[in-house]
Amino acid sequence: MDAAMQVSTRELKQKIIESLKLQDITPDQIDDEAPLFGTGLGLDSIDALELVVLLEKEYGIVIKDIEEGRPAFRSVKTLAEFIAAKRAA
Amino acid sequence: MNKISEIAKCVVDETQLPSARLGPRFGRLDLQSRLALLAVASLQADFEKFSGDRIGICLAASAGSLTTDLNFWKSRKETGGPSPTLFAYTLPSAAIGEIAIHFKLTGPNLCFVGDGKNLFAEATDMISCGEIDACVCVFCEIVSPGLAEMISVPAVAKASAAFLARESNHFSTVPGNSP
Repeated sequence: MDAAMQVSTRELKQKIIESLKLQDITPDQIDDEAPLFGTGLGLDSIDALELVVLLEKEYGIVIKDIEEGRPAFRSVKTLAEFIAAKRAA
Repeated sequence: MNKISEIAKCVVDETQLPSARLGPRFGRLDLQSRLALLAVASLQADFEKFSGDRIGICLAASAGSLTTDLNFWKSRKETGGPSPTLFAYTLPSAAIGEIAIHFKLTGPNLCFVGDGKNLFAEATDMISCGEIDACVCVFCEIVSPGLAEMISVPAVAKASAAFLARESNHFSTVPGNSP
């Protein structure tokens, strides 16, 4: 994949922290492969919608089918890979 | 019938929010919910002395959720649409939910839009009739500068809270806060 299409997980984590207004959490405290929802970062359904908005605002990616987005929202790593794949498409 | 007392009370304003530490999701809340939650936390009431389902919550919001409604409306043309989180707070009673979740209070609740003059009467009534043993009362006055300009009232951002409870053997008053 073209390096320009890659998304830094650190940058993505920073955007997630800002978008979801997570207090007292730094990018370094978020494991790239930890689940975003439930355990791990402990996000909920409203956060999921906020992440959908984040993708459109920051990366121009529109998720029309939630089933398409579901695997992408497993972790920061899968989300970064999803963004990179969409950019390359 | 045991006497009903105001056990603790406090007032908080916007300047106290930056130093508030009420969990990682506190920043997500709208201004009204953050102030309401901070006011209740500042009571330092020992809710665990009661069963969670025996503590009610009565909240009055002087301007309903208008400040958040206005922010939501202003953001409607942003790329990706307005914030879904903000949408969740376009209800005057949203702060009640946040208080209930944070303090695990599952008793009945009431929400008034307008002044707080009925709060104590309603709380006392619920306690007197045996529906609950204690009640958290919160009065929110949230008018953002933008809203203040629209409706020609002064901008304000503060919340006051009080904790009312029936005096009984398992209950002790907080020093300095007794009526």
